[in-house]
Amino acid sequence: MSKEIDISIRYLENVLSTNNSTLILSSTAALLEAVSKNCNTTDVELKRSLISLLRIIDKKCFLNQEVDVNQIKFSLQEVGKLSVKCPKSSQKAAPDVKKKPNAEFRDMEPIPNPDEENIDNLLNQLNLKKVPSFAPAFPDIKDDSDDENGVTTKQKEEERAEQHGQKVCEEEVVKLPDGREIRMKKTKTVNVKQTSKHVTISTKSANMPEVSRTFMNARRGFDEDEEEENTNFGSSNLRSDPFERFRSMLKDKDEKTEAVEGESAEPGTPGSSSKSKTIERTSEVSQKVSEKKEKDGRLLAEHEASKLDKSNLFAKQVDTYQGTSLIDRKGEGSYEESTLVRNALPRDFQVTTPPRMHVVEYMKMFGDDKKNNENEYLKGTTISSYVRLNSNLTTHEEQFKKKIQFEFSTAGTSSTTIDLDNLSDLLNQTDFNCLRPPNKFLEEDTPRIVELPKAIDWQREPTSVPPQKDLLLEHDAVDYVIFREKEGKVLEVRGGPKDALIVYATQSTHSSLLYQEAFLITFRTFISALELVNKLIKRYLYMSLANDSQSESIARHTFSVIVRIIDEVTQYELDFDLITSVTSFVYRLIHDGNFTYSRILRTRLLDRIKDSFDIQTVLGTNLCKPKKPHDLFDFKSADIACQLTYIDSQLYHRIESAELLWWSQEQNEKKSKNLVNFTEQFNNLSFWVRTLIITQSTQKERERHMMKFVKIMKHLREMCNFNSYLAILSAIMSTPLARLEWGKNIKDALKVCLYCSVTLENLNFRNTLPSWTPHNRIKTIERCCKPQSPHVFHTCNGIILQDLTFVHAGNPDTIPTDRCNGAKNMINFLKRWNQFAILDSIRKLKKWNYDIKKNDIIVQYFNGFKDCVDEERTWQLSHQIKPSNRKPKTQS
Amino acid sequence: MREFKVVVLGSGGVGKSALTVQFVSSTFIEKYDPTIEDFYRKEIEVDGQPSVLEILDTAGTEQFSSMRDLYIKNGQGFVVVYSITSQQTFHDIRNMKEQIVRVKGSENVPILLVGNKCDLSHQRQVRSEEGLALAESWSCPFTECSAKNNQNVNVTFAEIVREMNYVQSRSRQSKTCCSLM
Repeated sequence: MSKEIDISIRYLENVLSTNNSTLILSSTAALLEAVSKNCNTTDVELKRSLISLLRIIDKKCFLNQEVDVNQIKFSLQEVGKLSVKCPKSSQKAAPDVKKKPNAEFRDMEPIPNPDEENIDNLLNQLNLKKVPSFAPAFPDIKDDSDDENGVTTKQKEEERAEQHGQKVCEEEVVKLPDGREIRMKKTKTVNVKQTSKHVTISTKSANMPEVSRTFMNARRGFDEDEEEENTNFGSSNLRSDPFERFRSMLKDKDEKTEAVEGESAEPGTPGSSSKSKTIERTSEVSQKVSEKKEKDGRLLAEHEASKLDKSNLFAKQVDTYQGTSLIDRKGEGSYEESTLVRNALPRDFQVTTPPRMHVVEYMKMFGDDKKNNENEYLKGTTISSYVRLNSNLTTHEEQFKKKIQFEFSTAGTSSTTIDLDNLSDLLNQTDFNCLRPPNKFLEEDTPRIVELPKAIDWQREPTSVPPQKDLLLEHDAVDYVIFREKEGKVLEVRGGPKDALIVYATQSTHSSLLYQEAFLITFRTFISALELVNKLIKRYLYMSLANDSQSESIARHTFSVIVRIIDEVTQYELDFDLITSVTSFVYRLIHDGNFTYSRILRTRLLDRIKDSFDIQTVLGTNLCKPKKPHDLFDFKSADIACQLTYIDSQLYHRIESAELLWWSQEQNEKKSKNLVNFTEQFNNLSFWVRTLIITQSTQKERERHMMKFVKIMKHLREMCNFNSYLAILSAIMSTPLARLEWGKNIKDALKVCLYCSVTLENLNFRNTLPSWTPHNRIKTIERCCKPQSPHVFHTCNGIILQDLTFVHAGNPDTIPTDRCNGAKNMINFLKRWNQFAILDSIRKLKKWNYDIKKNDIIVQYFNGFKDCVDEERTWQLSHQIKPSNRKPKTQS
Repeated sequence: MREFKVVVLGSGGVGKSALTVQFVSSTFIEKYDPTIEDFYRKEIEVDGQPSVLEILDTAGTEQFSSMRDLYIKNGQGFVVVYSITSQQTFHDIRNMKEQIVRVKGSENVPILLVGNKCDLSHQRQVRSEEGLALAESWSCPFTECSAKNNQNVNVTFAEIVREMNYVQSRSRQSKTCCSLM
């Protein structure tokens, strides 16, 4: 038995006794991977035993049903036994690869070129960015003295230092049939250094024009090092200038080709060989600019700013050869780049820990390739973050980081980008006048049989062919979709029958990525996740059975849409039926021998199920009650603001766009649980603040508390947390508090708060603050969310909910029948475009995150903001402090 | 031209947004985009006098109860909406007048009580008499309307304009009275 399988089986056995679902599920995933790697996955018995094992485990862990642990152990042993029987045969090609003419063709091809491009193409895409020259803007120093005769000198210094390094490591292992191994290793390092310095000195005196002098100094150098171990073949003759080679990665290929030729020079070798290539690249550019202004030798001002750009690339590719034919290719890698900008006066560089904002953008991508190659994929994630550290007016530091991680397999490196620029154009259209009716009409299954969708066991073969024409089995639904047309040109999707829209979202041709995104975000307004997943699985199974390449490509597209849906499925939707449908589809995939897909899907499902959320992890602590209860003044305002922001961002990130959509339609607290949590936090904070202020017994104490909250608001504004900002503002501006007498300093502070909230274009709620004018908010939000902008609008839920509610109220769900030749049930997709546009803005906002650690002591002090009095009591207290003018007769 | 800020209040799901959309766009339109500027402003002529209404609609954000004060503070006239098909929504707004009066600090606040969804009369849970009785206790006008069928919608907003005109002129009078005394 393969060692890997053995270990994972034993581990799973141990984990079973812990009864920890998460552990059991993840170790099952490991076993599945080990089996698919090391066994002959075409063996029917083995697949059957695996499926029955998964079935019991899924029943126990996904669906929380009672199962006999011994039964699991038994199936586990069964899998173990069978996996010994069916080792991966080394003579056959990888079993995952279905034989097709293309594959044979590939076998005959000479190895080097098409394959080598793989990693290099990828690297080319991630090529080191060109660091632009750094030119910070310093405030212009005004000469405030009246003395016109003095001599002013201005000295500007620019220093730039670049350092690049690259290490390429190639290793080849050939396993000879007699068990011997030959290893070849080649390492090459290149280092480049470059420095330059510019100094400009301008002198100006009263009666003289400005004189400038410039000084320039540049140096560059590089060194190269090459090392070879046990080289069996080929020379290492270097070609051209290594510096030049470093500049463009692809140039390296010449040399590699030689290496490979060297290898194929011993063609008789029947054994297997693997070749790996590792590339590490680092690059560092530091730039420093300083400016000094003197007048008559007296220092007027001095500025300095520096910028450091770093990037790091790591990539690895492993090829497995059988003789001379490439049977497998895998790779992975990461690319990281960071920029640090520091703007400071020299000397006072050391500052106490500045308040920081940290925003992280997180993006997921799932490989979506259009080439017709078997089992190819590229997967990647990118994370970028922007940090701004502020200590005072003169110093600040900005950090920008981006990290890309990717893996790929076989020969596919296409990546997708979504073009969102068209979206705004698209939404500018106004009428129904230019609809292009569909070429074909289909009687939509009108709610003749109103039946709730149920889980479908996908492992069973489809029993019968539906009597009606089923769009889901069509390659192309473009004829059934209604498009908008302008001057004879077909524009975007305007609507159509449900199934046509689904098919259109999964077909590889004629469809746009933007449409697919809009579909994925808004489908819940016309079809449930379960029903959609069932339909897509049906489509996938149908397409995967066909043998033509178009069907295969459609199957792959459909599968990637299924994965996306599972990826974003909400906790509310993850019910028994959906889980059963998906798990049975996983079994079906295993049954069909498609281990890769089954593993991907099962992992995603597992991730979503694990992702349940308990609000206590945010608002609760494990601390014991302190002996002496804390009060508000035990903590710094900045720290309190940080913790409020921590709580907000934790709750905010849980909100799914589906919840917002649902809320605008039916206001169901169960469906939109995370949204409700977030709103409650907002209200609780507001009432907590009111309580703290109004329950103080003396005017002095009330004012002291009020000032503290004003300070906290100031910090919240710096962090761009307008959510808590507004919650506190709504408290201190609430009538029970605002009607009381306040000292002048408080009134002034409040004026500033109010002014800020207006000028900062508070996007949270419309029309709540005086002199608010409507904006094209989505544009504003987008503008404000560029990483370059320090203004990060953390939340804007209020406005989003309002917009969604109005879009829902103001647009029909289906296109009026008189607009499309009397056809019924044509989904009005323009409404969905509108919803998508609104939700997409929030999705972009959600990418930002704050890097704040939870402070248990403060969070414990908050006590979930439960210690507050209700609105009625607030009024009573307010009236006790300052009696009302009004006669209190109107108590209804 | 005179400008009025009107706040539309009421529980979620009573059709506030539909009411606003219907009024602002006058027909039940097929394409509606709230994100464009000035969508919440509308000119209306009441008794031969033109004025501009700015609608502050709380639809979708009813849950942010702590914000209600700010909404009320900023409004001049109030349209309080419930759904005739839900007793709960009628119950929810029973104390609304007191809340508004308390925040505004004055008894003379232009208020209008509206029972929406009167097209769904077969699902009626709140009788017209109940609505009328509440309006009487608030001493404010009352109407039932249907945003869906555009029934009584413009009338409703015209009525609140009248109320605001009335309250304003009265407070001006009382001010001059006071100064005379």
